[in-house]
Amino acid sequence: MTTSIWQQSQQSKPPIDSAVDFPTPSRFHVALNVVDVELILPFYQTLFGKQPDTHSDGYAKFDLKEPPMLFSLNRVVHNAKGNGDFGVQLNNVHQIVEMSDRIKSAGMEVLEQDTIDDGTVRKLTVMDSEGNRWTLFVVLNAGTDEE
Amino acid sequence: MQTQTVKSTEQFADSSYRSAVHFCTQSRPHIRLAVPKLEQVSAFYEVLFNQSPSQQGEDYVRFELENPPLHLTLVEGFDAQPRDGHFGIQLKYTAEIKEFQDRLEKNNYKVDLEETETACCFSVGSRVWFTDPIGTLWEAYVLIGENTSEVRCGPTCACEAEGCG
Repeated sequence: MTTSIWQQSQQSKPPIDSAVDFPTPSRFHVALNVVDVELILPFYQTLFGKQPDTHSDGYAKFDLKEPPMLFSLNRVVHNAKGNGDFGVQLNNVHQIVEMSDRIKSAGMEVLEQDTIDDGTVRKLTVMDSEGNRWTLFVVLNAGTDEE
Repeated sequence: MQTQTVKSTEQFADSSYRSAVHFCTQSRPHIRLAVPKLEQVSAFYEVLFNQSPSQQGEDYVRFELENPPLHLTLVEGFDAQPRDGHFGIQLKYTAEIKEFQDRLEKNNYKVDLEETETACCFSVGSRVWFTDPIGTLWEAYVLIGENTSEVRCGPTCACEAEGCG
């Protein structure tokens, strides 16, 4: 019996060693030290639009498909600098509009905002409760839009 | 009274709303690191990601990566102070950890710690830990399983040493 080319392509890959699978070959991970996980958590729930996948005392983890990232919050009081400068680069302005709506309806303050001629948001910056900045942006003009 | 026009998905299909830069996913993480010496740090990230910067100017270097999807900007002199916590590259095959280690060591960057199936932050993983020239902590790792014990981290894990919990 012959197998389809798709089955063959599946078979040619050895089983992964990782206990978790994700769509990209590898994934970026951020572990952020924070003073108060409970206080900072609503910001990240709003930013990522979901509940954490793991949540326990002094720890929360977001397992994200978009953006492809494993993001964790660790209570490390003595070394929580709050100086992170993070962001999400998006493919289309409509994704910024969606995120912006979510951020604004949660009452989060937008620190900076950049709009295009018709008033649509291209870039916005928000800050978590400990001072880490997140900039959401679409590069519409390669070379001149600096992030 | 001003009326706000709500755009439909079709309107956003116009190329003026689409990213001028192509990448494989719908979105990708971005980090901006302030560094005191651009060249020294940039050289490290070229080795780590096995890729040249996609853009560079007098005071910045940018890496745009497909694997892992990441937009990384290094900026010189911008309030340069060390980061807390750490960054990582999550992999699917343990053999890939060795590839990162070999590439770093071949270029005279040392790996600080190797962990094999070590309990750390409610999971068990194999990993190597290393730091960039300004002390930013990185790991290249594979998550092997959940840590079901009561203990959050194992006694040898790097983040336990940092004082998590």
